[in-house]
Amino acid sequence: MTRIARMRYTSLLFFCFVGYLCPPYLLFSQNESILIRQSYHGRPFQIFIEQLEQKYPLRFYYAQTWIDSLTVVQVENPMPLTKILLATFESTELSYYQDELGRIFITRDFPIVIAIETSPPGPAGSPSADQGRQQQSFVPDIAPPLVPSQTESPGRKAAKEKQDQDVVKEIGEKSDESRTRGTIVGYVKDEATGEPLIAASIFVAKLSVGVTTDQYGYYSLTLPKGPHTLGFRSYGKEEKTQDILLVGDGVLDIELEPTIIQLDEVVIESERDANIESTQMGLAKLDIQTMKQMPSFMGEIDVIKSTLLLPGVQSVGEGTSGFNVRGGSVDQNLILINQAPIFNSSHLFGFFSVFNPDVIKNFDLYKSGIPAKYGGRISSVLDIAMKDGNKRELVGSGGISPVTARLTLEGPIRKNRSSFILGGRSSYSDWILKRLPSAELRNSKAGFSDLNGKINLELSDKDRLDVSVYASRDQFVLNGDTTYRYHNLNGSVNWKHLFNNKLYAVSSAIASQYRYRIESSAQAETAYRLTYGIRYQELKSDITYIPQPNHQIRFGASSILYQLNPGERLPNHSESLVMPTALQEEQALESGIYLSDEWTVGPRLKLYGGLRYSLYLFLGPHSINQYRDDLPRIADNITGSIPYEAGRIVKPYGGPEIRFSARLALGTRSSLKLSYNRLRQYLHMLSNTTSISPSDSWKLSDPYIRPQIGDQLSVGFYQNFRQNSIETSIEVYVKRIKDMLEFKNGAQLLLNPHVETDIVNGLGRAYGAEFLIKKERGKLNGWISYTYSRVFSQVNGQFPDEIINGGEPFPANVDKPHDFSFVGNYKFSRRFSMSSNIAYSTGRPITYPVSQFVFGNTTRLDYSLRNQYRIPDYFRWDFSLNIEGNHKIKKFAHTSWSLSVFNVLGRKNVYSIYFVSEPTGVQGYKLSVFGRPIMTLTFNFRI
Amino acid sequence: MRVGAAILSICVLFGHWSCIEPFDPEIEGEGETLVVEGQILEGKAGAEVRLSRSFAFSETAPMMVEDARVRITDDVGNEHELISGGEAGVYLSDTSQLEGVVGRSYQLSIVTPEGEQYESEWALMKKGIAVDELHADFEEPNNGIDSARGMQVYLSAFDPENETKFYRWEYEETWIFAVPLPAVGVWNSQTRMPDLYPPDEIPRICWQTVHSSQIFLGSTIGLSEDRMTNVPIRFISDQDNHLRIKYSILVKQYSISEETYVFYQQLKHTTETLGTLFDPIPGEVRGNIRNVNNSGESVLGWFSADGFGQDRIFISRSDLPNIPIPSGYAACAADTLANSLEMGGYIIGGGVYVEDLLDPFGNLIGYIGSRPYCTDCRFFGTTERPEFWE
Repeated sequence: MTRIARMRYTSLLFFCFVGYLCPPYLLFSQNESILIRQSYHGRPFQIFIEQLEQKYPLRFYYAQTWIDSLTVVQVENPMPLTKILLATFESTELSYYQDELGRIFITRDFPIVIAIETSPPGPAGSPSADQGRQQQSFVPDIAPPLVPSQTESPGRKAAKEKQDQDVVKEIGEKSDESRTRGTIVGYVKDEATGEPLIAASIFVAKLSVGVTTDQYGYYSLTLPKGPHTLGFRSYGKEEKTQDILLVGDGVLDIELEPTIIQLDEVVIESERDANIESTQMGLAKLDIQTMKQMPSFMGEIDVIKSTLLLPGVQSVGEGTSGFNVRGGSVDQNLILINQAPIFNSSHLFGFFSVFNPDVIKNFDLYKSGIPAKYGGRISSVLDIAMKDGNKRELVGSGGISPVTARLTLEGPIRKNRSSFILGGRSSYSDWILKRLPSAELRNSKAGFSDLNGKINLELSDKDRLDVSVYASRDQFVLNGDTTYRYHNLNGSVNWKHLFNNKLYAVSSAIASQYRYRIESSAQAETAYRLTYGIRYQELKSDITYIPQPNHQIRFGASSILYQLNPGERLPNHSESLVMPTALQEEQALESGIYLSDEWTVGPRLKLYGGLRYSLYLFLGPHSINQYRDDLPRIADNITGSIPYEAGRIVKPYGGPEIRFSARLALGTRSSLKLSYNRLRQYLHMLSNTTSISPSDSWKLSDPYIRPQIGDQLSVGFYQNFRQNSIETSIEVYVKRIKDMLEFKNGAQLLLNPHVETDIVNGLGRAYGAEFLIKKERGKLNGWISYTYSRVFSQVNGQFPDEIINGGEPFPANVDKPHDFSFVGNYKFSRRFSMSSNIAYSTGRPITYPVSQFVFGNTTRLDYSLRNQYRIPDYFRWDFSLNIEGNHKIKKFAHTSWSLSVFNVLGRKNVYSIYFVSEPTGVQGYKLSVFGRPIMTLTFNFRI
Repeated sequence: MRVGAAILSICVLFGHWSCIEPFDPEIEGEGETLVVEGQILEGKAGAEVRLSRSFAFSETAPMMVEDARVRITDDVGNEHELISGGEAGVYLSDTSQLEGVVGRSYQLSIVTPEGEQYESEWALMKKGIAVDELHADFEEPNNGIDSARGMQVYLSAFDPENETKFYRWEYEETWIFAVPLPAVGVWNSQTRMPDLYPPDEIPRICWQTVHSSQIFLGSTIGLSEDRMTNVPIRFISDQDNHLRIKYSILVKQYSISEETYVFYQQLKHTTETLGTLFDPIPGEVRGNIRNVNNSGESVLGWFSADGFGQDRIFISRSDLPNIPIPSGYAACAADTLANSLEMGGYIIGGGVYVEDLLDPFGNLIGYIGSRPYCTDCRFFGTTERPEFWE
């Protein structure tokens, strides 16, 4: 070591003592590393640093001989200085250390390691800056741990973060020198609540290696031994980097702070270059913070309605909670909340969704490239994650809107280890209906409520368990006569076990139930009670194995038992003549096994390949109607039926499902992706209406109703600008759906003992292109998307009643070629922000009457071919103003107000058009659900 | 429909009363499709076939198909030709020749003047059953807002043999009414004087008859007995003048096949229900008539062979509580028509002579007149007393 270097180390120690006296703007950190825009790649290092010293307030300390022959390695442009240094020094013995004053110390043979004690990183207490610095020391060979003190001064928190990040952590123990790699595992958590962060990404930019956390916030990453800079990112959290020195297998738990300026911005997706990095395409993510900022309808934050603003997601109209993904029907979406499926995602006939915003953390919507672990629905997977309870303290929160009141309580069971959350929401009982000047409405009742609960327990270092339940209820009574009730109930138990750093398993037991009941008692003779129910029980295990950093192998198996009561009608009055009718119960077993590997072939190429094999068994007891093959399948042609005993296999279906994705990086800012997936669907919704109605029921595939098979091929191009702050993407897809369910005109689906006579199998084809520009940060943020898509259905059966539109393809109900969305948020100050949504789409297809004819003394309508015309285009503008209470930390309650105006222009968007024969002739009418601006004021609090 | 109404309620709630508006879509008219309405009834009740063509929205009435050859064939080889019966496009059987026999199948064949041949599917004649009971109750909806009180007509039917299962009803209602200012004569523009009616021909009291235009269907398929109890057929509001003097309703009950039921059900769905959020997707209703030489041609309509029963009841003013029933002529007032001027023109809609206007000394100084509908009951009805009227 040369003298000059020695001297400067001394001064380093000195400056460490006084470092914090300096004004903060002089401080440098890894985060604020200077971005080098000019390319110095291949140029002498000496010249490089001399130019830097002229340009920036930087000083380099080194021995001349070390860098004489050194040239700059700059693989990106622009590239942060720190990364350039790491890259340049990679194949040498050189290391560097940068202090707050912009001094860069280059060392040889040993890195400067200024370490604080490794895990757990103490978030509760952090070193008082001065104290910490005084204890900081520098010893070339061994870095003695820095013991953090337990006091914290809030004002210095940011400074402390910087210090943490500057510190190089040594991971693992120097044990097996023969191994060249080490595996880091750990949990990524929210610093404020201790809640695990799902799908947070951990990456080493230099190596183009990255992993994401699972639903427990757990990750495992294998790297070559040596120094690395780990980056950590998650929704709405400050990005964090951590320098490590990997010497062996070890643990690194990280806590991420909420974004300091979180109140200012819509965080759409803070995995900032994940869209470029990962093989996943067709994935849309939204977190609850974003949804909260968006203008809401009647003050209710709605998961489903938020998804409708994403490209490729549409609905048939307002007041429908179902959604259509890339031309698929509403029943082709797998909606999961904490792994358990939801069979009816809407409250009050679709005006609100069944998900309480206070207990939802975020959702992922897979539109294509669906991973092999999912199966059973052909269009999409909407995976909704519920929050974990706060592990630090007991917190209550809630809110009121004109429709509902909400209350959530969460807190630790064992501090920092186990927690619970319980959230409820209920509509006010009929308060609004009672105020309406119509007797029919005053005699009506409408109400709904839902309840979510979750407990998560840390059983040991290797075992975690969480238990969650969800229940929702709806009731609607019209004019004191017919009562509709429906319930969702589900629960899941998930157990995660770590076998070792490279292998872990999540096993789940899931049960879900949906039922409805319709009662009528107006006339004694016809009083009836109709019930429907579906039960779902699933056992599954998902195993992740990471043998090498460039392979992530996932495999698993699942088995689902379905039990359906397809409908039962009973007399509801002693004088009722209603004959008890019960359709045969249905049961089936759907099993699947899968294996997938995500393989990082090189820095440019990443592949995902998966194979799922699903096997479906429709089980007895059931008796199957037999029809003559040479006659149309109508009730008159039933020749008999074959009974099957309990447990016997009535009909098996199954087959392989291929999932494949590839990502080719075209540079550091853009990539090209390709994906293909096939899925099979064995459970179908019977609905010949355009939207979900409470009497729609689910039906299992049987010998006549074949499973639907969906194939999708998509290609996407992704390009980011301005340090990944602006994301753009184009995705193009083609889809083919075999045996798509179509219904004959005027089909009767409820309580039909031979429902196969009213259903025909069609062929669906869809294609489209989705364009998205997204800006995540800054005062103005949001996204703009445009989608061009088409979807066609073709029904060309053997008999006349199985042919629609002469057997030619016709636009399906959800075919809306042009779709445009704008979501924007503008922050005036930390307390005031303004949001706006604009949505435009082509009107959906409709079957119009084309001429009139006289029949039965009345002029009636002759209809066009199915879906030959369209309703007028849809356009809506929403607006909201969010006001946060002041941001004092010591405050009894944090409050916020939100004023939103839904449909500002009051445009009467047409939901449906219908025609009525009136004495004066045929008159067309248009029905618009929200014909005026709807203003709502919502109040939220958090204690 | 209940759900439909519910959803409308909700949108009324959220949409601030502005959910439904008239809408006129731009549609290229098609039209010119053959429309067949054919029925053969059990026994001697006869057969009737109406032939017309569909028409564009811009037109008001269909073009009837005249001079077609219409035949009904049964499955034992009898053939009967229907003949045009007065009204254009209506073909009737000779009831002395054609008798509908339960258990036989019938087929309708049509040859249009253009030479196109059409055939229906075979229809099996169903057995008819009598209307068990037809009665009317005074009902006062208890919501207090909709002030519609009135008589609700109910029908009950019972088939002890449990074979009918599917029902369709039609009704004809007739009521007697009087105009407030009956014309005693009619203006003669040649003599420039009114010609007086003979006293027994003054058009003061008339009968008006209206046929049902909605489709009424019933099914007992889900019930343990083939019994329809108190099916609401018609509600006569006290705001109408139908009940002011006397009212009568004839209900025709057809026993129909399942296919006929399904056809009418679909027709009802697509043409009579409100397009709410939960309605089925409407579509073309396929009938049972085909072009023999061009199966791709769309033909509207249905031919059925139905069992038949009917019943009539009368409702007198005395059957109702003592409530006021409007005459429907509250707006009618007599007005002075100027002397020696042509009638009409002074009263919107044309004036009709009612009586002379005399001065205190008995000199004719003008005429008193009123609007036509206030003075001549034949404007709405007929002075001819129906045969069934009691």
